[in-house]
Amino acid sequence: MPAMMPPTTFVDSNIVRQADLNNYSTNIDTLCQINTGKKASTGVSAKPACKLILSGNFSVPTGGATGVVTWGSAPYNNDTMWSSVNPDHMVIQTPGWYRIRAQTYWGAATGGASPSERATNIHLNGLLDPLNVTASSNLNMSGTASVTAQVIAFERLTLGAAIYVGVWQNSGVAVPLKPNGSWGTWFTASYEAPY
Amino acid sequence: MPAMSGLTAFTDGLVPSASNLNNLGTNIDTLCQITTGKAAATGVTSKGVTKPYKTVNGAAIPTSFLFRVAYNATAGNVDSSWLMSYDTGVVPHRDGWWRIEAQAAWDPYAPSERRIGIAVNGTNDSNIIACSSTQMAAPNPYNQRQQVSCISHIGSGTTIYVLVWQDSGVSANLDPNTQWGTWVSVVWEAPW
Repeated sequence: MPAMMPPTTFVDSNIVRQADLNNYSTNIDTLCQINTGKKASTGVSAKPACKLILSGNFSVPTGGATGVVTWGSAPYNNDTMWSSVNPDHMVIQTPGWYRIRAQTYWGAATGGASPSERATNIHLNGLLDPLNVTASSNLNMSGTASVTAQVIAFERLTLGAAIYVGVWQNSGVAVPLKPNGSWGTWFTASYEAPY
Repeated sequence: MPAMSGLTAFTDGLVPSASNLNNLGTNIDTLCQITTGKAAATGVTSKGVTKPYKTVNGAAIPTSFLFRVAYNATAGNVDSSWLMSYDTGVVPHRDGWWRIEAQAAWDPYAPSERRIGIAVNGTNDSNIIACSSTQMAAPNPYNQRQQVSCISHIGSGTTIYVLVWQDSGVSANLDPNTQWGTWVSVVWEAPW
């Protein structure tokens, strides 16, 4: 993208030069790309952002490999980053720096062991834990009650990059992640700066 | 920076006045400063973004000792805010409100405290701004991961550090990007 340039100082009675007017357009287009990752000619009207939520409880088995959360719907999805055809991840359509957040609300581990772990990961381009984990929270539970975890990541993402939320727990019983309306389990990504 | 001002509606057949054209330029420049923290004349193309991270396991943080995290690489480095030659500090070069987020991933040790905090212009407890986390670590063999996040008013040239502390009784190592990751992100958010 072209760098920003100093605005011209126009003077009354002098002929306005084409280059000075074009300078304005270039600056506007650069500002558009800094803010949204897209050129003005694309007709963009917002920076890319997506929020995913559960449509019901999501059961996380005890132990084993890290699981990936399957999302039920996207209340906001202005860059087609999520599709119900592949409901367990977002795919970046506009390269750039993204702020990624996830919240998991873990229900009670009824009949489970204490202490035990509740891990929430943000994965980039794969599901291997820890190799593909870019941000993570693990809570060492001293009981079996409900608990909420949040994780933040800030990532430089290319076109087609895939981001997931991974979860793992070892309470000895399956534990549900709760949907919105019960504190909520969600996943968001929003464009922050040019690649 | 000048405040944004109302836009002129230009009319065919009338010569545009210099002040109306200059008003457009001033508005563009103000938008640039709101977005990036720099004037258009600087040739800016992004707001400030820096994300140093650890690429190797290590650090050997002594028990019960406040320790500065050192990083080995950076994923972005607008304004050269992080330098390998000063690997523990991030120095923003724009006045403004900055969003600072950090993660520490600890190797597994005996259950005990793990702390992480963000400090400015110093490396003592008193330099930690309102942004810290204290957790009881999971028992071995689980690696403990913890995060902190804040938005702070930071002047150009201020040094930001990530401080960690633990009392496991032995020196503790931090994990690199292939093992959950130890990193800090410093991102410009709004004008001073």
